[in-house]
Amino acid sequence: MKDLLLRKIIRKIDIEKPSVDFTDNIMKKIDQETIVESVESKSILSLKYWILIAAGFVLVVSLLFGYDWSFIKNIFTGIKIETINFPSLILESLNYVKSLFSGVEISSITVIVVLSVVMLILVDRLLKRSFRTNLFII
Amino acid sequence: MEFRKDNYYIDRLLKGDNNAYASLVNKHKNLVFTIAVKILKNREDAEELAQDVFIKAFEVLNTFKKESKFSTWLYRIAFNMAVSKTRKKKLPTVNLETEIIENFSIDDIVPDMQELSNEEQKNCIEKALKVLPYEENIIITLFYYDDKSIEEISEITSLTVSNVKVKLHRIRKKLYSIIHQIIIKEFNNNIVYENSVLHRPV
Repeated sequence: MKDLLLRKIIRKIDIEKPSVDFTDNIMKKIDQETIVESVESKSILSLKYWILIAAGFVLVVSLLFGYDWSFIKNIFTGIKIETINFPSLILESLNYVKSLFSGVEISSITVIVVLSVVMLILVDRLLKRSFRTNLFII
Repeated sequence: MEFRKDNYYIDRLLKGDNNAYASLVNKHKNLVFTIAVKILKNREDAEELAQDVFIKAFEVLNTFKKESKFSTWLYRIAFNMAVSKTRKKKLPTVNLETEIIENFSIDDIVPDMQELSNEEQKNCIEKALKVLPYEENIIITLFYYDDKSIEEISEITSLTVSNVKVKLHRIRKKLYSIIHQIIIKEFNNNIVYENSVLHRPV
């Protein structure tokens, strides 16, 4: 009975209250944490990109083994644009463009370097886009 | 604001609904913040710590076994984090002479308290609680304000059940003593009350 008096009085006191944006601040931190965790646990590339990469790999392999690369036998002496035979049904129009450069000779090393740089740029853009969509949309 | 039982929000949360946690935070933020304020004695530090408590609880929620109440588990995290933060700096406490405390009972304050208005009673108890060391203050708050059982307080504070019982008994007497002194000082103005050391009138 007497203890009830103390309980009654203590219940009258105002309990401490945090700031009004207390819950919002916590939820923001938790959301950020959850997103970072999901990125860490998720592979950088989605299945869609892996399929594209696999398809690209298959294409490259089939070109390597299914195409006449005899023009490259002079790899250290240079490749003449006019000696390259693109599949006629697909890239006939390129032959016209090719004819425009009939006199031009490009070092095969230059071709390899340029192709490598282009590949790196494409992969870089692909990875950056993947990170941006997963990490910075809050 | 009406809240559902904690387990309802926890189940939703474990199913991936993070928004359910906002309800849990809203439901328990005041008492977690109160525990932090009582221990740290600073509202800014307490707010920061209370936020850390909820984030920590979120991270380790999968370790919550539902054998105890969520609030008990949460307050234990709050208590431990706040205490470990203050471990390096010694906080000031007020010492009361044991014989003075032992001689006090609620009979000493009931007549005086009943003469006070609600607002005066409230002020009086707030002042008295501020004089108590943080552990005693929290035990009293959890027991009387939040209706926590002795066992739950034992779990929160890591004290044994028998220790909590003894402490609760002593804190009550101490509180009566402090309240008695405050009433005399504030309303009778005929008692010495210096340097936060309280003396019972002869």
